[in-house]
Amino acid sequence: MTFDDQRGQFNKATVQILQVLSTYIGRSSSVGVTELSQELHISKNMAYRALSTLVKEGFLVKDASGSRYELGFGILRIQNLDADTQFDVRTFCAPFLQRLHKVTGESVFLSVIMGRGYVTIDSVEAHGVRVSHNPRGLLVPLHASPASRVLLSFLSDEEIAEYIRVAAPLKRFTATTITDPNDLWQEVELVRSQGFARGYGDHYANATYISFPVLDTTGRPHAAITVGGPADRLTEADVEKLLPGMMQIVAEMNSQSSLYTSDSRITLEPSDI
Amino acid sequence: MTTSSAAYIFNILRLIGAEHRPLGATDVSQRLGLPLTTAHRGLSTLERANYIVRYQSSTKFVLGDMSRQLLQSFFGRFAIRSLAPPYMHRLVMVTGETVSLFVPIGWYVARISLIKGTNEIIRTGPVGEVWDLHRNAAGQAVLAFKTEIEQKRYLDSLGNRTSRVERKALETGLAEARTNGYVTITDDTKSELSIPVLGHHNAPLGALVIEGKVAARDVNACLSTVGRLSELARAEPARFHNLYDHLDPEHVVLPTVG
Repeated sequence: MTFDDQRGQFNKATVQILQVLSTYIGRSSSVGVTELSQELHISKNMAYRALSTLVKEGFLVKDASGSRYELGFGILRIQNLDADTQFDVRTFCAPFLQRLHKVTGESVFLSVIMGRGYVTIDSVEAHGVRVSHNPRGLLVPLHASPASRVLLSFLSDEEIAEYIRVAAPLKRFTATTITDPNDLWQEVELVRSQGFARGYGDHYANATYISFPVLDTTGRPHAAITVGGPADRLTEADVEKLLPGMMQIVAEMNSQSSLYTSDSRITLEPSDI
Repeated sequence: MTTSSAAYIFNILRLIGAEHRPLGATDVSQRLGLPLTTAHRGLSTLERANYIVRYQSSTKFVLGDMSRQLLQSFFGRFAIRSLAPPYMHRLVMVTGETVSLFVPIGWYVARISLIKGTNEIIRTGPVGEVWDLHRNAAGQAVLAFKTEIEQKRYLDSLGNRTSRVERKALETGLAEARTNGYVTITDDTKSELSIPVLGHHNAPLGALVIEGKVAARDVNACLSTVGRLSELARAEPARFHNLYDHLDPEHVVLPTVG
């Protein structure tokens, strides 16, 4: 009898226990029996038995309160140390930068959060007249440019509020830079709902930009990918035509990047606290 | 949904995690002493839940996405991991060497993050590896800043695994580390400098390890960088604490490389 002859024969009860364990992916805090039963639409008894089994196996532990369940150190036993578990955002994104360049013909940039701004760490430049790489190491604040707004929008509300407080007054770069905190919050909602940020000429004028997030397990940004071209060649109408193809690539990318937790965080120096 | 029905399936999962090659039902059956049909059923169950995947469309299996994501979620439980990267980058810039973040779990330290150095030759272990506290620089940096009672309890737990002379040398090294604020280990195979990240009441939240030779002139810059990280962590004690500190270290048993 081959393995495939046995397909379909699985232990349903254990699949359910494993599904309980899987709910810890992206969860930032411990969970209780009632909460879990409501979340998975299973009885409290079933939730309790699944949690107890996972504790016995070392995959969960009771937290300091003694009544809730937290991921356990037994998780370290189901890893293959030969596999590279470290996420390198530049290596990961490189093929997607190439694909976005191929479908748009324009320059594509990869940017990551550093401190209270972002820096561009990789790019694929278009030929001829093109939007060029930011000067190496140039730190762009997180409220100006579409890459900034994408990175900012997928941080937590607390971090965004923290940024606005520390960066105030928000610096103006062009006539369209968002400097009013209320307008910035509206933009955050828009970016979160549509999944990308458009350029408003709010950092550099005379170019058309669109930025997409590279998201982690919890929906936080690993990085932002920006496609940009000269405004007379890459018009807003062109962006609309290209958007479905770009979104498809971005969706595929995010289905893979979401395997990893991001290290992106606005960093404040001690003197800022 | 009983524990006994699940136990063999978790054993299969751990076996596949520990192996260095893809495993099929026959391998699992032989290694765990299970009937072949039971091994098939266990693999089907794990595949169904996405914990294992077929290796290159064969009938052999390797760990799947769910296992990888859970590991990342577990690392995410240590809040210091999200705060440390900019400071790790600074250490890389100062020294050119690979920098790792280790966190304490029971009587062990686990590597949960690393940033590769800029030097041509990089010598480091994988993320996820676990060491006994006294066997690497990070563990010793953590141990040096545990309370005297905890230190004694750990050293006592070593029992016959260390000689009286080795224990004395370890105690002296820990006292020096506490005074200096760092640990260095240099032998024929490696050179490491580790600085503890200290949270509320100077409790060790982890340790950063620079995995290469650090010039004497750069040590103060490294101490200052990690000091700033500790300062940030101390400012938010509710966020930066070890979620597993309430567990009895004697009850935490992990496979080590050290």
